[in-house]
Amino acid sequence: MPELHALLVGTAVAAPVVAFAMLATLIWGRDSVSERAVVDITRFAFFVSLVASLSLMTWSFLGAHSFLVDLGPWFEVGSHSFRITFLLDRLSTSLMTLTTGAATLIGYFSRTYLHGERGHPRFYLLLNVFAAGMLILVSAGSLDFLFVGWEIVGLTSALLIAFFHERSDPVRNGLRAFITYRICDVGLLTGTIMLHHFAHNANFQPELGPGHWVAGTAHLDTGAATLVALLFLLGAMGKSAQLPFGGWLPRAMEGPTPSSAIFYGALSVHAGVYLLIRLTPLLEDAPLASAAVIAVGAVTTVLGTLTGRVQTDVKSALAYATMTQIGLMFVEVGLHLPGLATVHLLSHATLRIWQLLRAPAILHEMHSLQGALDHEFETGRWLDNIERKFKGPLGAFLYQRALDRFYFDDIGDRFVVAPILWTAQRFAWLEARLVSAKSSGGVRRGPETVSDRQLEKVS
Amino acid sequence: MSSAPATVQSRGGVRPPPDTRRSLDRLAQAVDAAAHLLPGQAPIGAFVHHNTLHVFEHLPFHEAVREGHRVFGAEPYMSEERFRREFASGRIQLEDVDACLRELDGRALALPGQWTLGDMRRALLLHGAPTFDAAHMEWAIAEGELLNRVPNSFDGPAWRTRMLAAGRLLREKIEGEQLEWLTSRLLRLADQATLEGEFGHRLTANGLSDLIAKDPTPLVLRLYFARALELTANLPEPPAPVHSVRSRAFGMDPRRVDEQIESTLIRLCGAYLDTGLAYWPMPSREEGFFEAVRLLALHTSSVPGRTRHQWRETIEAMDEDERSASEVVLKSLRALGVADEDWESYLTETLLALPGWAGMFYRLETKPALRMRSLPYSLMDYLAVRLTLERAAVAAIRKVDHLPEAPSPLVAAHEVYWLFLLGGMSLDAINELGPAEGTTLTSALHHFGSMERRRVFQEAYERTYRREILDGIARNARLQRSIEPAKARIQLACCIDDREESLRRHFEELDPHYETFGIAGYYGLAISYRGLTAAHGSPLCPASMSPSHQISEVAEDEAVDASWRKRWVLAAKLGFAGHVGTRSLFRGFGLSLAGAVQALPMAVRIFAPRTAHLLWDGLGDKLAPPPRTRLTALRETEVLRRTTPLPEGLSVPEAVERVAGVLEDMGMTRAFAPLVIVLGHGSTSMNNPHEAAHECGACSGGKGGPNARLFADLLGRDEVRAGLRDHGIEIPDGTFFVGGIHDTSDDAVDLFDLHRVPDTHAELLVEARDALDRARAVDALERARRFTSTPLGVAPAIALRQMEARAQDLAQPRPEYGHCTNAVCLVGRRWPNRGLFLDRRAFLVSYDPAADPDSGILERLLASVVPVGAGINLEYYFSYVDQRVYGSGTKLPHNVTGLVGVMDGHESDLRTGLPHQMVDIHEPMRLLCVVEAKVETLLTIAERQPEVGRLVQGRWIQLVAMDPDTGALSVLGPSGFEPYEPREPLHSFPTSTAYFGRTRDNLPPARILAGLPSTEAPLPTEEPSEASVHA
Repeated sequence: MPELHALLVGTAVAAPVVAFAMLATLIWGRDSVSERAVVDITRFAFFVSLVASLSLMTWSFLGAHSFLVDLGPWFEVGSHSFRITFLLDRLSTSLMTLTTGAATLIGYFSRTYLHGERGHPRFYLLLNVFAAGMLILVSAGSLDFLFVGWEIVGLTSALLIAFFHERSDPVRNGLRAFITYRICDVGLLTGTIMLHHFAHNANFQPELGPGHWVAGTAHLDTGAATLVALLFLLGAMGKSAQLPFGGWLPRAMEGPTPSSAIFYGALSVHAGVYLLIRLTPLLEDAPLASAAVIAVGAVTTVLGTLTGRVQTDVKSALAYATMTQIGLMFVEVGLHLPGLATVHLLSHATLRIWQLLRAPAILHEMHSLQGALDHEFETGRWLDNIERKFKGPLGAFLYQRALDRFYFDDIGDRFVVAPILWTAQRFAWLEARLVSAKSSGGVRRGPETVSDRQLEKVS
Repeated sequence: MSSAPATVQSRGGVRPPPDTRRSLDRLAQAVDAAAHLLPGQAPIGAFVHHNTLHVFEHLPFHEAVREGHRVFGAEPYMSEERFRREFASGRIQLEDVDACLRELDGRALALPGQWTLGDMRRALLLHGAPTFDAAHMEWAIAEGELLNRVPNSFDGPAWRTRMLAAGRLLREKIEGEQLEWLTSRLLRLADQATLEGEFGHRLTANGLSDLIAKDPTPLVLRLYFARALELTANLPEPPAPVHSVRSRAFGMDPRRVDEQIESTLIRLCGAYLDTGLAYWPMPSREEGFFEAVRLLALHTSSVPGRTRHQWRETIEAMDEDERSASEVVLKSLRALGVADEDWESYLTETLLALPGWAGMFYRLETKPALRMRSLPYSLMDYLAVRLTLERAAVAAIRKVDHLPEAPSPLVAAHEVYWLFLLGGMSLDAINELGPAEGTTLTSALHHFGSMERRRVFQEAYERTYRREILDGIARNARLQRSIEPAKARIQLACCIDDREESLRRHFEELDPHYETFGIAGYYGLAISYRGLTAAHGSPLCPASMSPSHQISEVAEDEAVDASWRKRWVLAAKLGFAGHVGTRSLFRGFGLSLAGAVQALPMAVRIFAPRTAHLLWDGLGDKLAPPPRTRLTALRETEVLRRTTPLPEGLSVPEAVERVAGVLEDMGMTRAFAPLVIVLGHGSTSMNNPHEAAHECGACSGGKGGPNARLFADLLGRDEVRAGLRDHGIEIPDGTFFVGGIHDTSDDAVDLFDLHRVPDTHAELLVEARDALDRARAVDALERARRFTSTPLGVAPAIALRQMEARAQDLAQPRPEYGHCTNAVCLVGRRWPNRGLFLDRRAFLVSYDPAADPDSGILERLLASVVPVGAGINLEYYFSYVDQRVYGSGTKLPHNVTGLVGVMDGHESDLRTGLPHQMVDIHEPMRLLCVVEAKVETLLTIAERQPEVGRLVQGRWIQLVAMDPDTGALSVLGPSGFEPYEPREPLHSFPTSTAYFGRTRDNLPPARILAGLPSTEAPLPTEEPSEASVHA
């Protein structure tokens, strides 16, 4: 049935792309569009995509096979051929189902939640692009193609963080996420190139292991495997908000609640975990890289949970809770337990999307709990956690560090974000000089931008 | 909410020297003065509507909104553009604009160009005066069409003629060898090459003649503009902007300092004010904010940059005896070089940098009843933290001078140029203007700037609506006077809330023998109420009062209660364990592995919220059926679990006094129906941090059901009735009272203690419940017309189901529209207004002038109702006109913080006021109070009641008197009360549904015939004509 699989996976990925094209046409050059049309197009596309994904998942679990769908060559450079391929197995089809399920849910939820909002069509437009990117990411048969989805997801993520662009904080935090992604994507890109170098290919199959995805082995020597795996780890750390790159995650809670839920509760934030699960065969050949994965996950988990405990706003608290569990998933992957990590991923995504969607109801829920548990609250019996054992200066020290998020943000700002912005500004200045040299007027300094201020803050 | 009075502990053993003590006193005064400008919002769970500009209430309204503009940078009114849209759609009518313009001075003053000042103002109102900044202006001239075309809004044949005439004139000049005259003027605008580029023709006689032949407009408009430049060349420069005290103290733009420190400050404030969101609370909170922060700051690292490093050094350097918050503030002010006389301004600017957080500290400091944790809250502590951070930032960052932009001559010239166009002046005419006349024009324009124009628009906006509503009221009252009311079989009392207007109307439409009343929804019972499931009592009375009694809900059977309570607490423990667990490490691992089981409840909740709610509720009732309860209404010997020092239950004399007062207030002292239903109201919604803002305002943002239940309970007792008899209120034995609650979100009406209804009333009770069910379904339909998700014209039952789903829908940021569109307050008998469709826009207060010869009752009523109604109305007004400063913006990124408020996204100020989704269909206008009383009575009351007087004199409300004897209306204008004569006819409709069924827009009043005694000959029914329904 290869044609049927190709058709199904093609439909699943193409539906949101088509919806995006339709919405873009609809919105183009118009001041206002019918909310209903926007929502209906999106809902239909997501539904089609969901049905296709569900069918593929059912097949993969009943048939117990993985399958490679080859849609032909994408482009060729010299002797390297890049092909558009989809790898359909239990892992990818489960994630496709999660993606389309979450997208359907959010598409439905947002129809009322964003009603009357100026950015309504923009939100749905980006949601479609994101769904397409995420589907490519999880179903791609090669790292080259995965990278396409990966970048689409990153871009839509930054754009949705900056959804309320009339205020400066969302824009600034969108920029921060974008810069973090850029840096970590260097790892993914270099890793892919290295893989091409060592293995002459970056397809998940058969180079990374024949047969079922958990069972394969990569045919690289240990040194090459370690180098490549470490580069991929860098890529995964950015998307999945692992320390020291995790600071953007709580700051990403600037967009409308449903977009925070689908990106940072459910899908986008788990992309790094998916990448590493996919590369398990490679990690098995690279003990050092596996140890690094475990170390990153363990540090993130411990510091994430401590930081999460002192957060006083519901969305940051959930962001750190997510970071903590994703850290655990890294540990699981590092221990070569991809099955556990996959279950953990799927289940955790479901839990968090639900919690983030309900985040504004926390007041309602806590008040009724406090009514019942008044006594327990006052005696602190239900709050008797480890951190309460830290008294005196040690407690104050740990609390202070947790409140300051162990300074990973600040380190990132000073040593990563600031240099990049600084460099970018030099280029902008140079460009302005070049342009003004060609025209008659003198150099005029433009209005102060968000990145100017961000730079000043950390300099 | 528990609270213990907490005092700020003074630290340090040494008493400060006398001059420091004097400084500290002055500092305290300055802080106090500055603090009054902070928003008065309580923690969000106890939201109470109030006048956002309460601090300026001593000023007249228009001055106060300007003051708000000056101090907070907030918009005083809607935008001019918006007003012009309202004008185009007919919500503002030309005759009202003209009437309001007539009230301004100097309108006959002659201006250049055969204009009077009045003409110019009118033209400016209708066409506006676009404002540009210099850069935009340069662009609009060079690249845009600014000087190439006459603006569309007044292009027409007159302008075409004018252009042709100007073209002829110019051709004569060119032919008469006066090319120089022309080009010298043009060259004021730009150099030759630029002009030639813009024209596409050379600046020669031939080139310009060709241009004129093609279209003279670009040339002529440039000459207009050149002339405007010439006339404004010698105007005095506008005064340089005054630098704020903070920017002088910092030597730079204060925003640069704020950006350095606010992230740290917000986290610290959040940590201190948290009431249960974080489960690792801030250490040493009981020492006060500054001390707790100081102890943390000692551990701070220098990794985050120079500011934080500097901050730690400053704090480390503090001597032990200089650590009281006020001394730290004093020291910081001196270190920043703020002169003594600037303290108040400096502190004001500082507090208003993050008004939400500072305001929360101040609110909790000054209103201990709002505290949910017994901690020493102090604004001085907040200032101490903030100022040490500011000091550190100023010392740490590089100063950059921000040069103010030099004013561009183009901006001033454009204003005059615009007047040339508005006045339709010819090229000849403007060439004849002298410099003095140019100045006259400019100054006339400046005296009628955007602020004045919007003020006139606001007045006209209110006037248009006022005419519409007063016409309806006057006509209906006139018709009602000619018919007699029927004897009541069922009486229904509701809160005065505008949302109950429709429920009462629909109830009355069912039967002429149904009568309704409106009374402030706490039913005169200022209680602290502890429900069966609540840990503490919470106040159910207006925020301006304190509860006088504790009332508890207790189970009738203690054994049932105990078993129920056990299960209920167990369920809560499980819920809480899950809540905390998913956020922790190891429990979180287990719970998140099991998280997939959430998929099903989540899907049901989101795709079918109503079903999910019914299933969940049904499950709860099955597993832990709540016991039958009663209230501790009258004081008894048994002692219940006491949580407050208030007496539990009322004594009989107290009960009689309060109940009698309420019955007198609403004029319900005789002709009791056999069944009287009294309803409180509340609102339930999911995913809505602003839920409390939808609850009963007369109950401090709580559910008013217990008050109604208690009121009915008391009136059912023989000892209370006996006491009432001594007050001259005779309640017949055959009259029974039932209390209940109306949920304004899902339109449920629940009645309490129905098992006590005697058999004699069983049939009547069935009738009443049926009538309430029908009324609430139609009420749901009337509400649904405002929501585009419900199609127009569905059956009431379907609308009701949709409202029920809405209340339970997590995805619904508009569970209900609350007080949105409120505009009117009617105080008087129901009869003259019965049958009048008021579109849920009116507070309805029952009052019987006939039973109040010395107007003592009216005085009492107005003193409580006017401030409450105005508070609600003005909060909606301000939250609407400036959603950034006064309102809390869109709900979508809101992030609940510390369970005390919401931030925008990840980190921001605490947002105060109402969110966009609560006000988006509001029409911001001042409350129109129509009181059934003599003009003189109202004047006397306004004099005697200071708060009412302030609101009336300052025009925070509009006041209209309706004569109790004649029904004649008088409107309070600038020169006292003036009689009002209705002009428009009042259309009649058989039912409300027949009237509102087809539109989602605001509707003018109409007469609804259903439920009126049949003595009145039915008028021919009319469909709402296009003219009567505003698009």
